[in-house]
Amino acid sequence: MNKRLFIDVTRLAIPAHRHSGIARIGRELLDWFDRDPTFEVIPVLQEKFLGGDFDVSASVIDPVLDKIRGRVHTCKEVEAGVEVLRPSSPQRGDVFLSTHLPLPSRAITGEAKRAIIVHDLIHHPALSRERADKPVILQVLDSIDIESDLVVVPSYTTLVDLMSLPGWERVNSRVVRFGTNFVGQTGGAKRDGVTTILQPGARKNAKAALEAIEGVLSDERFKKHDLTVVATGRMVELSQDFLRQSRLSDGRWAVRSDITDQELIQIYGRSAVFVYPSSFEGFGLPIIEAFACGAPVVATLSASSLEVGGGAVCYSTSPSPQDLGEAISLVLSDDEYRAQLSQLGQIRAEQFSWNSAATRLSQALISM
Amino acid sequence: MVISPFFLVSRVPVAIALSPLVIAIVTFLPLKLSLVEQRLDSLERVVTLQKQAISSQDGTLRQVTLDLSALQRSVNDQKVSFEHRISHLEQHELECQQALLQFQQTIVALVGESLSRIESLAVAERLRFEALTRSGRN
Repeated sequence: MNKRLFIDVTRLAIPAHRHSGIARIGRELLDWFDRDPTFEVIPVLQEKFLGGDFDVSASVIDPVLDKIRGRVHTCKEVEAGVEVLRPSSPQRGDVFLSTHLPLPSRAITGEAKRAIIVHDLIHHPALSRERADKPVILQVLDSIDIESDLVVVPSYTTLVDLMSLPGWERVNSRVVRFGTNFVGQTGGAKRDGVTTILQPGARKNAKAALEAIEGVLSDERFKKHDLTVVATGRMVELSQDFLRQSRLSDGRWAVRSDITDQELIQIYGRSAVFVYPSSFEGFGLPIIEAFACGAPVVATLSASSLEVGGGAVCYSTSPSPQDLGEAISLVLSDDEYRAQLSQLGQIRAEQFSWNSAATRLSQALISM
Repeated sequence: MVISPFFLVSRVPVAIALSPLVIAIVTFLPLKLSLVEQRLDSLERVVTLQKQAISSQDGTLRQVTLDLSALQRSVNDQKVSFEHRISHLEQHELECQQALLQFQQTIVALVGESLSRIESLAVAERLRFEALTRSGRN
């Protein structure tokens, strides 16, 4: 008999978060486990994190979630502080996996084994790299029973952060590095593009990246290159405002948002360099995705970027426009260097497949 | 000893012959009896005292028995408590061993990861240095 796997993928139903890296991870896991005969997958949405007018039978959710809409369970508050999971609840022998939000109370998860993915602790007040105004991480940690719940982290960077919190030294944890299904284009696509992914947040260093790229592309040597910014949230407008006032002509830049995976693969596929300026990530999925598509990567040197990117990245020693600009310029000006980075990146991407990540997670869930 | 009159009449000479003895007996017998009575009184007192002592010791013995019984119960309780604590400590020791093993595995993994990062950085820096060198030549 299949093991029932209740998997919380609430973010897939939140339009603003549907394209985030964390939502992508929930989508990939949902898709993979649904094809794994070991499990009978039951997607769970926690209504308290959705809008009040959310209706699972009517709302547009997500392509992967839509395929199994009939199996969606919702966790709803029936009276103050009392939640129920409908139409059925987990039993002994089942597994409840939260892919990004706090685990529901024991009243909801019953005697099921529980696991949760803690992506990063960036917003934890004790470790915050920027203003700690997102208390979800505190809710996530509060929902975990250190003695019995399994905590899955995507990197040793996150594991070290987690274990450095007082009382969390003995946490039952497992490192499961994420992966990608992206496959690079063959046929020698012309790589003239400079691509960057920009998100809101001080640690993302969006402005520094824009200034660096503008400086490099203003150089006569790099006139043939253009810029594609893949932006989320308010970075869409901020990027457009910056570039309109930049030295780059309108035809040399584009700001894209809400793009499909296929469109992102195409953008990576024509990139002569992919710039990932973030100072800190729990994992850094875009680096792996760019690798898989053969794009040479420039990234700010950090624990997470080094863990994910290995030796296949041209690291900027700081996220300053000057250091980022020097790294981008070096990559664009040297064909041999670009070829080396591209080749090493594709080799490294093979170590980060969704198949191996999900298999490792599956084994961890079965052995609970 | 009772001396019948017949005996006295028929054996007067004998009696006369024995009179000093009789006199002595008659004289000393009450004295002797008095001594015996005193001795008996004394013995009775001794017996009474010993009875009191035995009664007292009996009470003490009963108390000691009760104390021993309570002590036995306490020992049994402590034995159960110690067995429980030993069992708890054994369980705790097992958990500590498992935690230590997990911690060792984590440390080994983290050291491995650190070495891997150093190697990665060395590779990245070598490639970057080579590119910079080519850039300088050009």
